[in-house]
Amino acid sequence: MGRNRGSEFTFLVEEEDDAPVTTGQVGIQASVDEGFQPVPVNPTAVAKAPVADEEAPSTGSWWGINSYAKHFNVSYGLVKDRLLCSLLPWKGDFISEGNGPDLYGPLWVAVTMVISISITSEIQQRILSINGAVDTTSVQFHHLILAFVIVMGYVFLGSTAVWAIRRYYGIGCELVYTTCVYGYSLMPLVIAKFISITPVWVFNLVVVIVGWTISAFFLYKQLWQIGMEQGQLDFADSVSWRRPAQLIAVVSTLLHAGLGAFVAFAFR
Amino acid sequence: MANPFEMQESTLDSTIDESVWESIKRDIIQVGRRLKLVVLPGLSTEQIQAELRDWELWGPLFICMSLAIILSVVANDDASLVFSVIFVVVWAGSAVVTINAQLLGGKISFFQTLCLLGYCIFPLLISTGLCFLWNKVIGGTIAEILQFVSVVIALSWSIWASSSFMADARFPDGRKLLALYPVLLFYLSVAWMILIGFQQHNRVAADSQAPAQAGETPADATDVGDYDEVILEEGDASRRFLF
Repeated sequence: MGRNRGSEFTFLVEEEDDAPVTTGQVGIQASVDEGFQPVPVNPTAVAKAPVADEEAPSTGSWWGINSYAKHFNVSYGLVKDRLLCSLLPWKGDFISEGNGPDLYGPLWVAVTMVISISITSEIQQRILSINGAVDTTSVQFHHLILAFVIVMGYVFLGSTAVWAIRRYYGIGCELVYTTCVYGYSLMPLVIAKFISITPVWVFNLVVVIVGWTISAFFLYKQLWQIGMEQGQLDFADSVSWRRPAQLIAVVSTLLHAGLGAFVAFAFR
Repeated sequence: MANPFEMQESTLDSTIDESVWESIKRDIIQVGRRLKLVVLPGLSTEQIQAELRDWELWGPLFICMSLAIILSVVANDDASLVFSVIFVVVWAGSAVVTINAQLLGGKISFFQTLCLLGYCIFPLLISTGLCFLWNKVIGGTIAEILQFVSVVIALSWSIWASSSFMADARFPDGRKLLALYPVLLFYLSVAWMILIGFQQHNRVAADSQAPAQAGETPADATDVGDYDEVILEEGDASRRFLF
């Protein structure tokens, strides 16, 4: 896959680009949100291959651990800020200066979502059921597996599909950034799911809808609004933009709506 | 001075000539010693690290198998699914948690940590045994409350035992909590599977029989006279997972 530097709509840069580039090399305004930046934050400077004792290097090199280490270059404060940004997307920058997107957040927020769906649906059953009966063990295990497949599939495969469609039409960012955004966008839904274990189903539904709206706005802001503000996604002049943009918007909204419906109504 | 080759041969002879029972007993004693050292308080992280330096996975395998067997025996149906899910969650979960810690820059050994995480599931195995006992002996709501309490205590114990080791793994600044959170999630998911593994009630049976048999407790459905209804309702219940 080659670079598309020449096209006015493309600013995707290969992740496996060898030349380390520093931020700001491409002429972008100083206030740019770095998640949407066309060049990766200097990977060689921040990548820290984990050095363990005599066993880990041989295991690590076989599994290619070092190539993922640069996406786990986060601290507790940074993850907390990103989670807060996903809960309050109108405030602050998701990817702050000097940092790149991470894969820690998507992975563990997704696992938290799976466990929270399982736990809260069980608690909900106990609260709502007439004589204390709940699903059998095997049904619960099937639910757990289904939740795992859907949530992990959404965060990793769904984000890859959206990234691929965007890339096909010549827009888009790094795959890691897209996956990072999709992963963190689950956070409002996790909180909404935990709040919505009351016996009042209207309240539960409203809470999940609020959570879903915040999550969808976060996705929209990170994947579209920032690009439009920076002038990298210019829909104004080109008629040919409407159909791809609509298609991408429809696909990603449908995916997100499907996830929201699953979270709201699963296993009742 | 002793000939090193003679010394090597005598060491080999001492284990090759011993009986099978001796070999197994040695491994059992080692597993038991490690269980005590890892799970009970009193040892520092360095001492635990020194003990687990020659790691082995027999202990974790024994613990995981016992847990999976007890839960699959207790499951009313689809025991093989329960067994495989437990197995996969324990091993894949430990691996992912360990790799996550390594990716965050922690100076830990993969198999050593896998060994430790496996041994630290032992309190949850004890609680599973207790839950099984209470299910058989007491039953009903009191058993459920006791199960919940014992699993929560075992969960705290497991997290405490493993996190004190993981926390000392020389992480870069600000990443200790990031490495400990997946450990919490891992033991929470194992504890959760233990709790749902001891589900006693059949939801479909209770719902469908609610008007006519409102006075009956769900345990009555397992009487011999209701055998056919139980089979039908369990089949419905397992088909309901596709909501």
